[in-house]
Amino acid sequence: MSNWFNEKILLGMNCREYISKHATLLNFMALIILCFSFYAMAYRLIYGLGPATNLSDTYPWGFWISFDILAGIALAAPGLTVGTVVYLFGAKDYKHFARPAILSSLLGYIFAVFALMFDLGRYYRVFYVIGWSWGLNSILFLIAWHFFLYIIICLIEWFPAFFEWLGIEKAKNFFSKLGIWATVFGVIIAGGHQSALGGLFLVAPTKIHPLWYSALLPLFFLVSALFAGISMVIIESTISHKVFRDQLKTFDRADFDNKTLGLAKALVIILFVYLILKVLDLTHYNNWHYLKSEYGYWYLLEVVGFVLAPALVLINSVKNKKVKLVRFTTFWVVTGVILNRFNVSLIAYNWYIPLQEKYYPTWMEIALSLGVVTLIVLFYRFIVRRMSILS
Amino acid sequence: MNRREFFKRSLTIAGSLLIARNSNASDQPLSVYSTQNKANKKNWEKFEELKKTNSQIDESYAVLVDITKCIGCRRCEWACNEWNKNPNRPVKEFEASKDEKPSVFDRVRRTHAGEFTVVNRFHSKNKPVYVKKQCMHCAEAACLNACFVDAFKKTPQGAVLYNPSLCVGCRYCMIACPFDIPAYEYYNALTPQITKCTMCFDRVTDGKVPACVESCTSDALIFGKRSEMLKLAYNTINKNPERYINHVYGEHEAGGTNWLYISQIPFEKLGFPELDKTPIPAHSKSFLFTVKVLEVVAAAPLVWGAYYMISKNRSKKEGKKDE
Amino acid sequence: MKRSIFIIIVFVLSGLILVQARNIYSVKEKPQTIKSPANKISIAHKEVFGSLEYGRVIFEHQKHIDSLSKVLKKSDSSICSECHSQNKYGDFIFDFPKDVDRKNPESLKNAYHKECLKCHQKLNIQKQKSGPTILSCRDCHKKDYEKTEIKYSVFEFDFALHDKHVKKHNKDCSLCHHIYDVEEKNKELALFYEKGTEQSCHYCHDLNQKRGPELSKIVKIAKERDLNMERACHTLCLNCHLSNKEQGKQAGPVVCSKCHTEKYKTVEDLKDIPRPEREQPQKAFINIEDAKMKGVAFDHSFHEKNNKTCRECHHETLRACKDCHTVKGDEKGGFVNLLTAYHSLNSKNSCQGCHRTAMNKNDCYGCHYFISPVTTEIANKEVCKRCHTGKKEIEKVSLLTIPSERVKKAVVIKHIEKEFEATKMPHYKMIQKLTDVSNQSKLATYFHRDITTICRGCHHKSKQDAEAKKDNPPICVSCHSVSFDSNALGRPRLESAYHTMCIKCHENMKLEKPKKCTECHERKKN
Repeated sequence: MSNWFNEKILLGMNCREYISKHATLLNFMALIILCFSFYAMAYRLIYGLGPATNLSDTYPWGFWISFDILAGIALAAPGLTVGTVVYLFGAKDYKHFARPAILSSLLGYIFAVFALMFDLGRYYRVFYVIGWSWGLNSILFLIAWHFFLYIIICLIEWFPAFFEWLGIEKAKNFFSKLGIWATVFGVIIAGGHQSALGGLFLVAPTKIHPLWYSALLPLFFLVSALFAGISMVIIESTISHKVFRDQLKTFDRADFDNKTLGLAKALVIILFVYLILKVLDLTHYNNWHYLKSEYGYWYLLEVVGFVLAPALVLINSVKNKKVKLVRFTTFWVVTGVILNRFNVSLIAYNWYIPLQEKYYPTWMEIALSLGVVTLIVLFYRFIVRRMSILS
Repeated sequence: MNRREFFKRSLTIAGSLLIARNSNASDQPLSVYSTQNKANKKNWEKFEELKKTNSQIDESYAVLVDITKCIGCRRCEWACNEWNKNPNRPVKEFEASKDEKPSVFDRVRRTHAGEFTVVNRFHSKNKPVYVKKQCMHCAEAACLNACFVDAFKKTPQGAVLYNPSLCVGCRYCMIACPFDIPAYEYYNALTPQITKCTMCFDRVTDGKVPACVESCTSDALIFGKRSEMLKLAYNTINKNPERYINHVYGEHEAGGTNWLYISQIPFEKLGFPELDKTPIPAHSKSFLFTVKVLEVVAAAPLVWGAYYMISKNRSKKEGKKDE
Repeated sequence: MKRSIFIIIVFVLSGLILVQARNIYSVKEKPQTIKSPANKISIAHKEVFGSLEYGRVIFEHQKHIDSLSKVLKKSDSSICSECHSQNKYGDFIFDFPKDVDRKNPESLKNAYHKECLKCHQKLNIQKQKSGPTILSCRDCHKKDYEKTEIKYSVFEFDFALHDKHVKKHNKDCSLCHHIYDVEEKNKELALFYEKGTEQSCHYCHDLNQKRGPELSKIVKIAKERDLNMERACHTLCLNCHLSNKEQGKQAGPVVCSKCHTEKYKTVEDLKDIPRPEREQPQKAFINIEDAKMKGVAFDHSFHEKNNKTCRECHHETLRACKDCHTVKGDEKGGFVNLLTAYHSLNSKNSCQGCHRTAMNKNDCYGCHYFISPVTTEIANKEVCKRCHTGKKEIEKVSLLTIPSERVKKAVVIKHIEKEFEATKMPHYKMIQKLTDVSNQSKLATYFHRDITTICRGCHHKSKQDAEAKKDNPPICVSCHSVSFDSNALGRPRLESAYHTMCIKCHENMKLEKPKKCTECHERKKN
């Protein structure tokens, strides 16, 4: 048993070796973040939401929903985008990207739900929505079910790698065959709930600033999740190819760069689709006059500064084959998506109330979210080192 | 809650504030910290009980609020707290706030966990205008449709009731409510619940009027059948058209509500949201429909595509083998 | 190198975010409106230009007159022609610049720039003090001006001023009044004066009002010539004042602030001013021959004195109501029949509509908040007879007197004794006040024939059949029960009834007291 443990979990080292090998500065920082995060979790569980957060009756949803769920799920879309491209459209060239993408989706969703547990008042009742009482008219109900199904789908997609690691061939083959079906349903389900996250705010027409409120909110969320997903694929592959160089048996730099550029092309197209939709929306609701207000400038910053500008830079860099610039721009795009989620759910929400009554997070809310991000990174590293994800 | 327990709890809260709290909590009213309200549960149980008896109600009830008549005595708040067993203070203190400086009226308040209704003061031409705020009991309630465990129900009597035994505490109802009514027990770590006005369902079904209506000292609140209240509202407006704006708030707003308001100044100046006739749930319904259609319709070609891909792969492999 | 570009971009972006975040919550300044500007004119022409590229120019009119008269060594009034054009009668048209297509933004803009600068430059060459001469936009379109807005208050040519003009000009009405003959083919002759046709300028020159078929033909012509109230009055008044000044006669004001004072006279102020004479009757007998109702005696002179203008009743012409409003109603009277013309409760110009607004004012509204006027549909014979007497003489009515022996001095209300001290209501004093109010008003005196009318202000159900037979009016507790009556959901509790009645009455009569709850009932000390 201990032999198996040493082999599989500790990568052939014994405990002492393993710990001393991992005593790096970055790991130490992660440990500190986790300490604060666990303190925040415990504090939230013992004292409740009131003392731990700045949530109030005016702001029932705060940093956790905006960052962990809205932004987090959008950034966990690689599984949706790359899964579709590789498995459904048969773009085999991008198969490299598929397994890490699915893994990051799986971790993203599991930890989003994990973080959500701290936001729910009665987290222990969360299964009610699956099998106890159904609020069929609620968009949140749709999301809950889709999350539930999507995690199962991601698990099925990930199981081949998992069982390969455990060395159970039969199970691996079984889940490999299931994989394609899982992907099909994954696309439907993921598309459904990415848009539903935007749909959540359809019920607040008076509370969200008219520039952000639109019947097209679900579509905006879906499209922006698509480009967030592609950007995340590029970012992840960049980082993991740097960090896990040793994991790759054959690494063809030119080929990798080419594929990155290919993804960037798709990214540009989706960015422009999004922009066209935004202009359409502005015109349909005749909201142009709002652009002159302060919220309008902020809106312009989001749309021009974080969608149009990166799209133009991307066009240029794809033309001139500047891969590094592409990688940098994807960070830019992702920041834009996060900004958009914060705008819809926090800044444009309750837009009419004065500044001093606006919500801002406590340190505990931020620490908990940072901790969750750290956990995702650690788990990702843990799994990548042990299972054949990258190769 | 006896005094000792209350003391203990407030000490806990104060203690936790010192540890981890930033400033603005300390000047929040006590009702924010209130926990373990029983009123919502009690009303829900009564509703469940009555469902069995199968009693017939031909039309829902409504309360008509004549804003021009309210004198700001806040007795409705007191009576509400008293009946729903919320934290309360002597009625004297409620009444005094009208002339006090500083006064609770200085700030526009909203409902909180231990406070189902509040009276706010606005000014029109230097004259005070008092506006009572509580759940509007919409005909097609946003909270009801937002709830993903179906913990809200609209009763035939008109009240929108909440069932704490199902609630998961996601607070989506609070996002959805256009009137900012549902409040949450943020200071309860284990069994928090949403609290809101029940339109005194328990009293109404016993043939009484809501506690606030009974306690109103200036005839500003009138209770009756919704159609009659609408008639009364328009009669009142027609009698003194100079003193009222020709609008009954709640007749059509968000698909109609069971609390109606008439006023001398436009409602948007009194903190009422400007709503059209569309019920709030209608905004999300078309989306839900689209998703269902897409998922059912789009699923077929996608599955077919997948099947096609697999078979193509297989035939390729077989072709290779043949070579 | 690349890293530094990256850092710069991050800095710029975060800077942008910070700046925007601050902007979101900052409040924008609104232009400040100057209500009584010292003869300054705001040049913006928003009706032509829409939004302005460079903001408005605030033009110092007086300053220009002063310096021009100094340079040209001419009297004030004779230099107007420097800037303003004249028609063939020598009357000034107070437009600037002269002779320009005022509907075309480009030509208007060029004309302003050309005319202003031409003069400035001419003076500059002569080494005189001049305004800006070099083409720098912000010299005239100053940034500060965007923050200020100029608005002159409306000028009211009231009866006092009218009377002054009448006396001054020896009743020569033709100096101002004129009529326009639409039928006349020769436009030169269309405008003329005819004795006995004098009416208000508003009828033809107030272009915002909707008019009837007859008048709208004339209004259309006024519209074509752009003769709205502002231009019509400025041309008429200022030209006359200027020429008087020129001839050294005593003349009216020619500077803006002398007329646009924002001071208005009330009906009270105009009480002793004689009204214009236009052969109107002192007393009239309004009798429609084919109508069912008997005639109404009408005191025209009394109503004249109680209104600021004739237009309050004669909303379109100075003719009698029945001249336009026929019994059946037709196009001429805007399809308003005679019955409605006299009785409409919602019109400002009808008898009942006006009487009703009188009821909604001050003292009357204490009771009439609760007691609405009777509409013609439900009125009984007795009510109609008040006006429709059929006699040419107006009925003489006596003032109300209080039967002191039957009225309680004070009423003590103590049903809320548990919490509050008893309230002493000065019953007699209240009646006294209400009776005085009624007696002071001629309108009220005419309609309140009996002291019980006053009682009904509070004892509102005393006319109900069951109550009317009783000797005493019903008291509040007869109907309003102390605790909530579930059988009568719409009927207020006693406490509510008192509060509504007392507070609404005090509020509507604008009485100072009581402001606080304790001014009526002290809280009991326990």
